[in-house]
Amino acid sequence: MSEVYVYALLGDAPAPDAGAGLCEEPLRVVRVGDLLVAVGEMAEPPAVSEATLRAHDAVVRRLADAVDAILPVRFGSLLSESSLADVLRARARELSEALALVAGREQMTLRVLGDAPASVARAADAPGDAGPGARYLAARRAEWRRAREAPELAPLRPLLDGLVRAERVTRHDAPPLLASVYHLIDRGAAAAYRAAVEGSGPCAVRVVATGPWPPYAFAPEALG
Amino acid sequence: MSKRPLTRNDARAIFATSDTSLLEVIDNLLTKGVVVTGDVVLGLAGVDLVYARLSVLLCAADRLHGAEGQDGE
Repeated sequence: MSEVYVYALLGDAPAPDAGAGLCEEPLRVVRVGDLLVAVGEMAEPPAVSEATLRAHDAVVRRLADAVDAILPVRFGSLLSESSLADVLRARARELSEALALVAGREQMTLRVLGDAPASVARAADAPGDAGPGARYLAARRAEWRRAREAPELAPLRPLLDGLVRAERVTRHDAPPLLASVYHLIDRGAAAAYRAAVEGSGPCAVRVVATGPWPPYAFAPEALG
Repeated sequence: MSKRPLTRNDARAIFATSDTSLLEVIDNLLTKGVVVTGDVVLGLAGVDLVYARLSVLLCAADRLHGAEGQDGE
């Protein structure tokens, strides 16, 4: 049975001629419930190379230009159409919510560079008389939160607040790269966003902005 | 062309690039995006390599940028 290579989930259908995929295969749009998915027929997954990665990205960008909402799918996703339908049905609700979030928006990426992670002094969440279980859970919660926060950006926040619609943070154990921060902004706001980042004045960390990108980082978290 | 995941050696070969824009594409396409299949291309070791490489290149660019800024002052 033939398999399909999956490029993206779409909020609406692009023009009938969606063009070709990364192997020059014709693109088509599959409907699963309320979700629309851009796919191409392929016998084998593409090898990972600069050419195939850039070709996949080019297809996603072209689709992004043709629709209001797009959720890119991870590179190398080849599966049967029935398996795809099963996966999407199981996650229909969170995927629809994610599509609503990215509608009319795109992604900017900030790389935060600095000497050492900012000290994140934080009062304990658990009250002093909490038992060991509660203290453990509070510590785990704090750890989880810290992994998704970028306190280094505090000086930038006032400038970015009006532009950023959603944020994802990944902290890195790769100094001087301290964190990657992915911001969802309205389409067309990239120039204002860059100006805000560049105009932020002296800061304890350096930030490098790239984009706009299709909203790759705003896919719902992978299952399991 | 095979279904095996990317090995550490494959990853090294691709991530040896000095093109930060390619690393941005790698970050987006291999570590982000909706996961619809269990055959994830990039393992955890590969993810670490992406950021280690970005760190080195951005740091080098940052030093260069800083030096130019000082020259101009």
